[in-house]
Amino acid sequence: MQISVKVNGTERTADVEPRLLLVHLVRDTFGLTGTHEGCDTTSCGACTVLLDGTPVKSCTLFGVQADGREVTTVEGLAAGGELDPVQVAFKEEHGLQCGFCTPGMMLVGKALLERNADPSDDDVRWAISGNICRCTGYVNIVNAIRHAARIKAGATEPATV
Amino acid sequence: MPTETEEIRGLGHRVKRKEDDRFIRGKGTYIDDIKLPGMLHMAILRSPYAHATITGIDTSKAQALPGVVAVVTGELMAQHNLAWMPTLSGDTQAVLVTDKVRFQGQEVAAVIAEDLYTAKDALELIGVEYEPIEPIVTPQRAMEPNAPVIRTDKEGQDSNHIYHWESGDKDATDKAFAEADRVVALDTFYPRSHPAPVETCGCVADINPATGQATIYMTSQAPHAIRTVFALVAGLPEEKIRIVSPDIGGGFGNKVPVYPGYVVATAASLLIGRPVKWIEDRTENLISTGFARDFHMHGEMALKDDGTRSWPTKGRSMPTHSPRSSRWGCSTSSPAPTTCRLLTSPRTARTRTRRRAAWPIAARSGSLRPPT
Repeated sequence: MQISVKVNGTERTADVEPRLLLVHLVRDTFGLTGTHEGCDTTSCGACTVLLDGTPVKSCTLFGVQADGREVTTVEGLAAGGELDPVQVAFKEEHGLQCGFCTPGMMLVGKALLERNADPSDDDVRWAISGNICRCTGYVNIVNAIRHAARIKAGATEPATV
Repeated sequence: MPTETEEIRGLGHRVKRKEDDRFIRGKGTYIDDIKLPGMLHMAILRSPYAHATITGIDTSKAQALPGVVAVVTGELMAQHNLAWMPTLSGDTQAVLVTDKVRFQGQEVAAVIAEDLYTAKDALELIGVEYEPIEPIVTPQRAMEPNAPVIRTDKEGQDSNHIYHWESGDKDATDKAFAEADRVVALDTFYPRSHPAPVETCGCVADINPATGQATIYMTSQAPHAIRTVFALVAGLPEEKIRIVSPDIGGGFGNKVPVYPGYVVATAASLLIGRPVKWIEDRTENLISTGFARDFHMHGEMALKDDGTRSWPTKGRSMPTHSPRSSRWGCSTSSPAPTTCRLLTSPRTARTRTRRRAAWPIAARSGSLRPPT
């Protein structure tokens, strides 16, 4: 099937099998390997991308379901060349260790901040409840997303990273 | 004027990690991100039975599927003396089944194809005839005299008992128990856990047919130990083998052992002359790779009613007995036994620890270690 998807601001076309998963369209067809596959079953959130701004698990969507829509991956967070506040915050607050869940966590964090500029710990924990991290214990991830909110609001100067 | 501590910038100070820059940009290189020219994809067929004899495998339909390059069975591996492999603990482990299945999810066959979807399609075309045998899921059943023996591959193995291990001073411990006013006992179960790193296990095996050089990219926490096992399995000198561990998406001990998929992918690359990628899915990771714990424990303490000790005052520990049974998997891949300190301190003279382990077949053991 011929599909057309706007990926990180760029229009991309592909001829794909109807059964091709969105995660494989992103990783293999478009070569954006920042999106990871952890469980194939919508459980871990490592494959999270934004579909028209909403976080989705790309391992349980077909690529053809993204036809005519907009996909944002971790590579699109710094599309303008400048790091997104959520990327800066994850580094400053040590919100990652092995880095495998990090793209999904950051995209969920970015989507949360779009609709809630000042989330509480509970708000953040609810937002990332579909994403599993085995390294950090989540505390620093929550801190990072709240720190990103402060950077975005201009309440704190991001350190140079 | 900065303080001395600030100048040292050691403990208590924040450090910016060098790897974060690539991770926050999605520019890490995990095992599934590696793509080599001409690379093939491998998928593994696993047994739905925990214990079963295999009487026949028909791979003809799978081999006829367009895009399939090879179907590998235990028989083919045996022709190259690769059906079994040594483990890091001196045990042996089946690479692909040749005689019988010993745990649910055990590797039965593998398909190598031009793409992953074709490889997985072909798995469904392989016909396997199983004759189920009674599965054993508890150490208690495993130790009963009429229990079926799991490791029939081992010469002289007529039960599921793996080892008996004791430490401490038997006479001093027996004396303390004989003189005790009361003995307190506890039975407890320390459940199984799985490390479940978010990135599953996998590899890209690349054997250069011209030079014989083996390069295996692998999600390994122990590349040097893995290289040694590969040298033993392949009969190659270590300098002909290069194990590359790229960015690792979590390990927690799960990525120490050598798993059959690594060996099959490497053998396939050698036979076909092209790189072969194998990435397990989450279900495969949970049912077939190393888990931990699963100890059935019994502990006893010898006590005096007046609070005085019934053992020499030089001793630092309380007299204890702590026999334990473990639900081991069907092969041990990490060193065992080691000391047990949960209920006892076995290095002191008046404490005795006894452990025994048995082979049930619910899963293969990996990083099985007593708690420390």
